[in-house]
Amino acid sequence: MLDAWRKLRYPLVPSLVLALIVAAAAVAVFATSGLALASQQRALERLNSPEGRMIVVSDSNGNARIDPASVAVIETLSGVEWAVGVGPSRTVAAGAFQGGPSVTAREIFGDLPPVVENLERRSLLPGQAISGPGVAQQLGFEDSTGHVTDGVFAADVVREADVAPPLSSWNDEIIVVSSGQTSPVTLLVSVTDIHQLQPVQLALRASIIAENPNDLAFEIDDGLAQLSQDVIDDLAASSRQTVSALLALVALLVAAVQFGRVTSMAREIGRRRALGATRSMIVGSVLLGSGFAAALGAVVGTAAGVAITYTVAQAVPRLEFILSVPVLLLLTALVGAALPAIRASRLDPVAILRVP
Amino acid sequence: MRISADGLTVGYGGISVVEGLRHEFREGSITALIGSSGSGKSTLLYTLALMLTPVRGAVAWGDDRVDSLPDAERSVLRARHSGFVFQDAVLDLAQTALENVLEAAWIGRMPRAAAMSRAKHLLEQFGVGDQTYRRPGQVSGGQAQRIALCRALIRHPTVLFADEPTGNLDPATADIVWSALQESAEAGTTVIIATHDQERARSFGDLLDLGNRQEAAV
Repeated sequence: MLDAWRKLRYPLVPSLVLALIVAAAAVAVFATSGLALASQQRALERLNSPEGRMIVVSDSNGNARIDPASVAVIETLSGVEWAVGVGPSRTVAAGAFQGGPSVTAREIFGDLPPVVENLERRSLLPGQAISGPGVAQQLGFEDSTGHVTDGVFAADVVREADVAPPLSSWNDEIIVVSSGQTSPVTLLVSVTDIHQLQPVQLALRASIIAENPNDLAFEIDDGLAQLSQDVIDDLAASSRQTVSALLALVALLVAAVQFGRVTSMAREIGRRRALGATRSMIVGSVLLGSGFAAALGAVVGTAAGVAITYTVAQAVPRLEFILSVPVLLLLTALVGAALPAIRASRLDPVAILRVP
Repeated sequence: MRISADGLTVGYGGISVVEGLRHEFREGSITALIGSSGSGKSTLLYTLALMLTPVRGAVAWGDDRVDSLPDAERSVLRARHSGFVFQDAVLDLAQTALENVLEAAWIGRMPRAAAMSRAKHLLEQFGVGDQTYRRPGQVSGGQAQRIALCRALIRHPTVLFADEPTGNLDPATADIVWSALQESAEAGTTVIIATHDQERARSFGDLLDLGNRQEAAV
């Protein structure tokens, strides 16, 4: 390949100009679309927050009567990250200090959600509970363990645990693993991605086991999903326009440079044709020369573009985007070089070489 | 290889300069195309070398009519079977003498090692071996023309075309070029030269006078 390049005697200056054009275009693509895509990714990450990915199913008037077995069914649905059933809230106090400080306690149905940090999902037995940080101290427990009761309901607090969003309100409460005596009044379902909100909601309607499913109320923040889609659509349309304009400009500039190069190399091209080079060899040599320079520019420009994007936005576009930019620019440069290459192949060697 | 023109009318820019030429260029001979300026020497030469298509008539290389072949096939014939010496050498100023000679071998798909060996041998043979790695701007006009002659001969052409090859040379260098062309002819190559140098042409081979179209053998 290097030997072929050497034989082409491709002039250095047009090669560098061509490489520079392609490199500048790559940087421009990243400075516009790349930054937009990185911003889009950041916006989507924000929109894709744990709170935004939550579906809350409520038995608000108590008529639906959700079967606790629903939780296990829901966790098998596609797009569901985790699910947990929650019973009604109770006010409990330390068993040894009736009349002392009280806190809210809730029963949960199913495994502990993974947002409960540093605790295995199935590490608690029915009737055992965790308390939020400081709650045990508030209740007067010495080593974060103790017994709580409201007189009818009772549970053993076995340890403290931090709970991350979207269930961070649990940090002020006692969460008790249900012993199966009651039913959940709320189902909390976290989906893997906000775009799963709608499909999972539809699946939930068919999957929840309840005596009166029509009395269930579903709450999702589908405004976020819509906003997310709008962000993607707007930025994609904007990026497409920008990239298309840039590619058209690159094709024009490459064509201009290559027409100049063909004109300046007319004598060399005429000599090669006279020596027996076919038109396809001439086309190939022009395209190969353009391809070498464009590939060099595309790689350098892409590397610079990624670095600039990361420096400015602290994020980089997806790998597919990063890889597609140099390929697209290379193809565009070849398209731009096609007409000059064809013109070169049509040069008349006799008109060029003949001495009057 | 025998080259034939059969009822050949050639022209350039819409003007016919040679009408109905019927001539056979014998294998192993030198034929000089002579005539005044504008008589069509170079146009005929380029047509026989398949760089121009005739207005009418046919060109045959050996027994095969070749003027009507597609451009790609004519190019391959040129690359593999012919050599061409231009009036002003037409060397690539960016390449060394060796690279200029090798360019023809590369286009003709000659094996690299054989081409390298042959190129160096030819450069030595024509007295420009010490210019092998110099560029055309560093050598004299006569040396450049000898390098161009090496380029034309590297592929062992069966037909050699030369357009005023000694037009810009001093007499001593011109003699070297003519001798080289004669040696090629003696080795079996068909040599066709467009020239104004009638004296040398007469002493080295046949004449085809396009001025009054009378063939003269010496």
